[in-house]
Formats: sequence, structure tokens, C-alpha cells
Amino acid sequence: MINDGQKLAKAPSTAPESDGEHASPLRWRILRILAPLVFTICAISGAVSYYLYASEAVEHMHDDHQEMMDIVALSMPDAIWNFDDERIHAYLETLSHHASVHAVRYFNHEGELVEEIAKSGTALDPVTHSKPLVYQNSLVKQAVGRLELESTNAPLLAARYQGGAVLLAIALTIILSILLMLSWQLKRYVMNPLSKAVRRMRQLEGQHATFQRIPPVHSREINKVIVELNKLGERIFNMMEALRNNEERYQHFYRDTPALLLVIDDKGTVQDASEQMLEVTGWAREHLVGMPFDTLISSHNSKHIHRISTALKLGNACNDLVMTLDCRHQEDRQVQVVIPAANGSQSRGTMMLLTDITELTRTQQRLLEHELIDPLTQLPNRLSLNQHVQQLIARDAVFGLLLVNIDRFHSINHHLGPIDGDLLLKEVGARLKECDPAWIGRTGGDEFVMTCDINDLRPLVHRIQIAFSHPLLKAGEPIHLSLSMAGLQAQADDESPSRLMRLLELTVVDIKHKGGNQYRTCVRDSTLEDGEPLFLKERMIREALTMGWFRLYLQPIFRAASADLEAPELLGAEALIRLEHPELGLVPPDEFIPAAEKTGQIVEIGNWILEEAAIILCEWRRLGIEERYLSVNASVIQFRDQGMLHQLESLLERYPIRPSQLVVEVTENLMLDSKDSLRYQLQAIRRLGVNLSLDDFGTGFSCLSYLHDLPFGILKVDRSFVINVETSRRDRELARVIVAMGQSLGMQVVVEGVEELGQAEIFQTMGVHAFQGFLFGRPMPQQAFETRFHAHADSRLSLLKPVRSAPGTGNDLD
Amino acid sequence: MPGRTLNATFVNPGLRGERFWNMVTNTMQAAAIDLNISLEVVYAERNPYLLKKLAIQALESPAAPDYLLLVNEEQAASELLTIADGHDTHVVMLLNGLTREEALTHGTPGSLHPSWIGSVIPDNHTAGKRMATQLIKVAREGSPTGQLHGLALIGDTRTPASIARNTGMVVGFSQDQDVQIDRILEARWNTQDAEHLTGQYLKWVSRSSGQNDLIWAANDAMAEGAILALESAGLTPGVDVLVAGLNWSPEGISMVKDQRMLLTDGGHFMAGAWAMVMARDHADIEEWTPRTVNFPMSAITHDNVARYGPLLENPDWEAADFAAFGLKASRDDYGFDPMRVLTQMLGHQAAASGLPPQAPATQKKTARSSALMDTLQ
Repeated sequence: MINDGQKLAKAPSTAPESDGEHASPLRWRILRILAPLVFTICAISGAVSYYLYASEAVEHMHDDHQEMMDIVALSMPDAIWNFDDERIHAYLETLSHHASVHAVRYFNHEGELVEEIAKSGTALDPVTHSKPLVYQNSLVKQAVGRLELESTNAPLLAARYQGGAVLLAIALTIILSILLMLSWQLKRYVMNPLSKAVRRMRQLEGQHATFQRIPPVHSREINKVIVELNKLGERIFNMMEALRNNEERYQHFYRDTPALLLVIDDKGTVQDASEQMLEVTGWAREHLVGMPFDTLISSHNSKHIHRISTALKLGNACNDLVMTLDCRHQEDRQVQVVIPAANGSQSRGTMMLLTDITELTRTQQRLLEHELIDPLTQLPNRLSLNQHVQQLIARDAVFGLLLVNIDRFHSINHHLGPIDGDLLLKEVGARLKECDPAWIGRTGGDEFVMTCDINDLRPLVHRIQIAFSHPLLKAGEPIHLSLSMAGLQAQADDESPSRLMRLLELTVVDIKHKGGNQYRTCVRDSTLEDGEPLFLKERMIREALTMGWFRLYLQPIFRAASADLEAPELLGAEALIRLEHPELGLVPPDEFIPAAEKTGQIVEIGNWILEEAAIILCEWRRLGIEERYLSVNASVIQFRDQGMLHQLESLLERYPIRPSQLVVEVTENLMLDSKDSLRYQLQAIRRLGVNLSLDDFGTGFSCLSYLHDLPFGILKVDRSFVINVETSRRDRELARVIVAMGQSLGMQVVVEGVEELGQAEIFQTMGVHAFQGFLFGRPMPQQAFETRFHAHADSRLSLLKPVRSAPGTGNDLD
Repeated sequence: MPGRTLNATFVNPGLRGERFWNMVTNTMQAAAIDLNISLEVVYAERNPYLLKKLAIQALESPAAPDYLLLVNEEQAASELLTIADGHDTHVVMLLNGLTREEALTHGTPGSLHPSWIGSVIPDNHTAGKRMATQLIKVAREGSPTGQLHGLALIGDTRTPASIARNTGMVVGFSQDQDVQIDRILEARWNTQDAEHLTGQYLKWVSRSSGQNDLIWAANDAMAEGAILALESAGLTPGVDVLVAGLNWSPEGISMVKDQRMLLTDGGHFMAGAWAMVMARDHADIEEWTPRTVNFPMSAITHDNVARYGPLLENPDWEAADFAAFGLKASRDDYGFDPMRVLTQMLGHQAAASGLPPQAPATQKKTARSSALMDTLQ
């Protein structure tokens, strides 16, 4: 950009020179026309006047001669009359002294030549004047002779030449003077003001605070030009200033951008670089500018370099090239290079954006490793299995595939605790490996998959059965495990690993249903293959997490004791997760939550829900809403390893929320887990101030001792008790018992799934705390929720502080 | 003896000692004595300005003369008439009268200027013509037919006397168609110029026609120069070439006597004496009529040189009685004639020696000349 600026600045000064190669100075051009013109005019007028002068001179000469003769003729007869030869001679001599007189002759009255005085040489254009000489006095008048004078043009010619030379000299002097004068005038009144103006215009090249106007001169025409130049200059100055400002701004943008940025021309020469680039590479800008860009790139990227060079030349875009950036003072960096397409002006250079992906690559590497190896058993994981099977299929191999699932591992794990459970799994993995399969991996919590030679399938199953006939010892106590095993012979036409896995899983599920502890070869029955494979869901969930497809919908919860059930008082809301798939649309939770629980992604989802809930609470708080609570659902899995507690601690640490506004809802399935650690965790959560709600009460493992032991503050009556509460007396009684029990335990009872007013009235008479259901409000996006319930909040708020914005645009409030 | 003594001043335009003006002064003095006039002569030395100055001095002096005698030499005298009108002095002009142009402004004696009482003018025209006629006559005696070539040496062309003499010459020569005057040359009254010009003329003649028969000279001095030139050219004056002069000068008389010169005309120098006579008469006569008197001149030729020559070679003007020429009661005009003076002198000599005097022969002729003179002017 700097270089461009200089070029820009230089452009006006170099352009006229190149344009004016064939132009000559104005003065010469005018003089070139004027000089011959003046010369011709002078020559013609000179020649004419000279001719007139010359002919007049000749005439004059003859007139003079005539006059001389007349004068002499007056007095010379007296001398002749008196025979004064000396006087006669003197007269003749006097006449002949004249330069233009070639000869004088005096004839007597009889016509005889008496005396002649002639000059040497011949006369030029001789004209002979003759004059009779007559003597006259008072007494006599008598012809006494004749005087003859022969003229010569020689002296006249000499004088004419001399005069001509003088005239020529004068003419040349005049011409020269005129030309000099003209030239001087031109220079003074045209060229000097113009060149001054041009010099002033040069200020546009430098950086000046203001445009110094060109001062006017005395010539009106030049002033017009100057006025236009001033206007132009000011316009250009302003444009240049804007340009400079822009340039500065853009320079600032690209130099101070935290990205690695190079400006390069079409030949690949570096024109400029961002500060970040300089810092990372360790080059000073002045060294870097002018270097070919490939010196920055590690030499083993020659193929990429060639691609970039070609792209630069053609102005093509270049994406996603990963190369190594040479750094002088630090470890070389992995960079991803992006060059935008040049829009047809590649000669002006383009930008080269380098993204430092060193850390990313490393992480990816680690992740990749992590993904393929199960960290617990150090055996290949599900992904690895997929790859492995894929490779086998690709090779058209015929092989045996065996899935081993530990029966009742869930209970065993509960029994042992997670640490011993893990030890157990490790031991299982090791023992299975000892059974010498061709390949073994752990694909799930209690699930292992092996491949083997097609003929080794049975023997392998046999070896496993023998191996597990002995108890496992590592988990603190000797444990006998029974295994459900499904095997199949993979064929060349098996299209995908997932299909094979689905077959195996379905078979294992079937074995489990039948009591487990059994080996069965898979039956290739397509009817079994219903539902989506888990890994597809897993992928979808991962994508949803990464891409932000999850949304929280809020369903309002109202105070049941409200006098008017048509307009009850809002107590809070339950946050319900939704997946807004860009192609599939809204995916209901029961389509992905079970899968997420299986894959463990539920932890991530749960964390995301907690974060979102915290954000919503913060916003409510910002809006001054501090009474309303937000209830979120948590999966059992989230509670493992005190996960929920840690998460909540971190959450409360990070967000300025009141813990009492947050309610965590768990299902009765939670009770299946180990009681001690759970109790501790739940109590710790309560101590944080976060309320706990027992969801879907009455549908599962409803163990009353839990109710008593565990610190739940809220009890949510499942919708199944509500549906028939108006019609079924039994249901009504059951509901009354549940409500009474909750109340007796000091819990707030919330009734879910209220769809009829009658239902609500029945529960109202029972004295429940709150209602939630379609009757009062469906789950809705946060935006809609805020819009709907802000008016209410605002009206309350209005008692405390003035409303600063129109109702319904609560988001804009401070 | 005339009455009271008159005082007169003559402003002589010539040089002291100059032949002609000596002759004028001498005869004038002689007449003054005869007429009881006290004459003072001052010389203007040929300078018209000096002439004017001297005349004015005379007019304005406390002892102003009764009569001022002026010669209109170089036409210098005319304006003096106006000056003289304011004084008691009377003016008499002699020898040269006024030119025709001067006469238009100054008139004739007594008409416009009361001081101007009269003029005495010799008949120069006739004299000049007589000389030419005589030259032709003598030359024709030698060659009756054929072309005659001649030379005229004139003194000047401004003085009225000279003009009259020159015109007389031209008239005289024009009487014979075959006489060709090749040159009329101005020799300024002196011998040297005349000799030089004649010499030149002779050279020219020898180059061209080769013929020269006559030389007319306006005075004796120039005639002498011509004679000298002729002699230098190896010619014999009087034989090869006839020469006529004028003045009655002793040199002229001598050259006539020895035949070198054909004649010398003259007698005009007596104008001074006649002016004295006119002054005396003006003083004496009660009713004076202002007038101009033209008097004849006469030639001394080979024929009469023997008779009159001696009188003129050694003149004794005291011997002449100028008072006799004054106006008498019977005559109302003057009979001035030089020949009469010579005759009177011869008579005196004869009375002294017993010889009868010769009567003057030119009385009638003089009157005719005067008439001619009048028509010329």
C-alpha cells in the first residue's frame, strides 16, 4: 500500500513526461512559426523598400548630376568666355571628384573635345548627361561649348551593398528583438505562471495540511487556468486526503490485524505484512518487503508454492493450502493459506491470509488419537472399529466379527463404583485380548468388538467362554461375568460397518431380552434393522453442538393458588431442549436424548443447557426479574463423578445469578445409581442454593425412601396422573396421595401436562403449588416467552422504576 | 571775375594719383580758380562705402561746403541725395548719372531732391559707338568684304558711363553684319587684366578661327594691355590688329601718335570743370533751372593727334578759360565741348605764338549724340 501510494504520488509527475516525449516547449513552437513569418515579412518589405530605395537612389544620383551640371553650367561659361583654363579644369575636376561620376568631358562650341577627366575602369550602367554651356551677360549671349558627364553606378552599388548589409543587420536585430521580446513575454506571462502553478500542484505529491492555492497573476487568461487548477487541486487534495486516510485506515486494519497477512504482487514479491506476521516470522518489515514470499515458506512445500505462484499469476483464488511458515526465532508454524481471487487486477497485488493452525493441528492430532483409542482400556474405540471394518470391506475381505457385551454391567458397576467398574472393564479388555482375536476394540461402556479369521469365529467364542469361566479379580472382589455375544461372518457384499454393527447390536439386545450369557450368530433379517443407527445420531448431536442447532424452549410455570386461572401469576419456566436441524427441521428430544445418553453426549448437552439457562437468568436479572425461576432437566449420566456438582459450582462462579432461581430436574432413574455418592452430590448442590426437582414422579423407580432421604424441594407429578384425573376416581385419589405425600415432605408440588381447566381446578383444590401445561402455555422460543411475559414483569417493575421503553421490547431495557 | 567765393567739395571716387581722376581733378581745379570757387578734393579710393562716408562727413561738418560734387561710381551716390536734402549744401552730379532704376526713385535734378541742382554727363554711348564705327571703317579699308573678327575689352557692366560706352560699342559693331565680336571681356579698366585676357583670347583665336582684326577697349589702359599682348603674340598693333582706346590719356595719345592705336576717344574728364561752371551759375543766377547737361566726347585719331596731342601729353589747364562756358543772358543752355577747350587752348597758344585758332567742327554732332543718349536712358 505504501508503494502504491508512492506510485500514485509519482504518477502525475511521470505521466506528462512520457506523454510529452514528442512535445516541444511552447516558446519554441511559437517562435518556430513566428520566426519565419517575421523573417518573411521583413524580407519582403525589406526587399520592396530596398528596391524603391535603390531606384530612388539612382534617380537621385541622376538628379544630383543634373543639378551639378546646372550649377557648373551657370559659372563655367564665364571661365570659358574668359579663357580661364584653370577654372575650367577646376570645374571639371570638381565634377569628376564625385564618386558617381565616371567621366566629365568639355566640348567647345564647335563640338570638339577640349578636356576629359575620366576614371580608370569601365562605368557601371553609365548614363551620359549633356549640358550646353552658354555665356551670357548684359551685352551678349553665346553658346561656348557643351559639358558631358558620364555617371557610374559603382559607388551606388557599393553603397547599396553596404546599405543592404546594414538593413539586413537591422532587420535581423529587429526580428531577434521581437522574438526575444515575445519569448520573454511568453516566458514571463505564460510559462512562468504556468510552471509556478505546476510547482504548486506538486504539493499534492507531498503531505501538507492544506492545499496552498496558487496565487493569481496579472494575465486574465492565465488566471482562468489558475482558478481551474485551484479548483482541481483542492478537489484532488481532498480526494488524496481521503485516500490517505483510507490508506491509513486500511493499513491500520491489515497491519494491526491479529491475523498473519501478507500483501504480495503478482510475481509473489512481498509488498507489506501485518505486525502479527512480522512478530511470528521474526523479520523486520523493511527486510520482508521485497522478498519473494516463498522464502517464508518451508522448502518442502514446493508443490504448494508452485500452486500459489500460478494462482497469483492468473489471479485465481487459492484456498486451504496448509504449509509450514519459516520462523526465525521460534518453532515453525503450520499455516493455512488463503488467497482471494484477484478480480482481474492481479498486477496490483493481492492479499495472502495465513491462519496459524499449529495448535489446531496438534489438537486435532490429539483428538484423532483420542478418538481412535479408548482411554480406559487403551483399546481401539468405536471410531477405530469403523475404520478397521471399512478397510476390511474395502479389501473385499471375508472375516468374522464378534460383539461381546457384559451382562448386567450397569448393576455391577453400580455395585462396584465407577473406579472399580473401570478396573473391571480394563480387566475384561485384557482378558478378551488374551483370547487372541485378529483385532479388538471397545465400542461402548460394556461392549467390545473383535474381528477374526472367518474360520476362527467359533474357536474364538469358545476361547472367550473358557477365559471368562474364571472370575475376574482386579475389581476388589472376585466377579463372575456372563457375556452376551453376537457373531457374524462378514461378506464381500456387506456395504457398511454400521450395518454390520446394527445387526450385532440388535442380536445382542435380543440375547439380553432372553436373559443374556449366550452366543448367537446373527441372522441377516432386514426386519430387525429398524431405527436409525446410533452413530448417525451421535454425528447429528455432535454437529448440533458444534453448529449451534440446539435451542432452549421455555414452558411457563404458574402459581396454582392464583385467584384467576385465566390469568395466573407466573412463577418460572422449564427449559426444554430442541434440536433445530437445518434440513430435518425441529427434532423432538426423545429422538436424540436416548442416543445422547448412550453415547455420553448427554453430558455435553446438559452442560450446554446449564450455560444457556445461566445466560437467560442473567438476562432476567439484568431486566430486574429476580423472583422467576428456571428449571432445567438433567440426565443421570451428568451426575456421574460428581459431574453435576462441579458443573454447577463452575456455573455459579462464572455467572452472577442467584442459585435459588435455578432448578435442576432429575428423573427417578437417578435413584438407580449409587446412593451415597448421589446423596452427597445432591446435598452439596442444595448447599449451593440450587433447588432440585424430582421429575416425572410416579412413573418409574418411585422409591419413597429416596423422597425422604434426598433433598428435593420440588415434586413434579407426571402427566399420566393428570390425564384422567377428572374422569377416573382412582387416578384422582392416587394424585391426591402423591400431592399429599409431597406436601407432607415439605416439597412444592408442580403439576405437569395440565390441558383442561377442570384438571387445574381439581389440583387447585388439592393445594398444589404450580401448574405447567398446554392449558397455560406451550413450550416456546425464548424470544416469544420474553415477549409474552415481559408485560407482566414490566407492570411489576413499573412500581419500582419508570418504564423506559415501549412494552414488548423489553430486550432493549438496561 | 565771378561774385563771391563758393566752397565746394569733390568726393573723388578714385585713388589719389590715378591717371583719369587726376585729369578730372586737374581740370576741375583749373575751372575753380577761373570761377572763384574754393575746391576741396577728398578721395574715396574706389570704395563706395568710404565715398558715402566722406560725403556725409562733408554734409554734416560745421563748415559744410556750398556744393558737393558726386560721382555715381558703383551707384553709391543716389542715397546721398536724400541726406543732402536736409542740409544747405547743393549737389551736382558728374560723369555718371543715375541708372534707369535709380532714376525711378530719385527722379531728375530738382524734381524730387531740392538739393540736387544738376548733372553733367559726357556722351559715352556715342563715344563707344564712334570707336566701333571707326574700327570697322579702317578695317574695311584693308579688307572691304569678308568676315571680321574682333575683341571688346570692357571695364565693368555697372557704372552708368561704362554701360553707355558698352552699349555704344554693341550698336557700333552691329552696323556691319560681317563683323563678329568673338568676345566681350571684362578687364576692369587696367592694363594687366587686359593684357592677360587678350593673350588668352589670342591663343583661343589661334586654336579656332585664327582671325582677329579689331580690339575695342573701353579705356586707354586696357588698350595698352591689348597692345602689349598683341606684341607679345608677335602681332603688330595697328597693322595686324586695329586697337581703339578712350581717355585722351598721355599714354593713349602717345600710342595713337606711333600708330599702334587707331584712336583714343575722350574729353569726358572735363565734366568736373563743367560741374564747377554749373555751381557758379547756380550761385549767380536767380532763377536756376535744375538740369542734366550731356556733353559730347571726341576722338584723337591719326589725323588730329599731331594737332591736339601735345596739349594732352603735357596739359596746362590753367590756360583754358572755363568761365567762358558759363550761362549768359542770351543762352539758356550750356555748350560744353572738350574740343572747344582744346581749341581755346590752341587759340591761347596761337595768340601767344601768332597762329590762328582752328574752329571746333563737331558742334552739331554733339547735339545729335545727346539726343541718342537720351533715348538710350
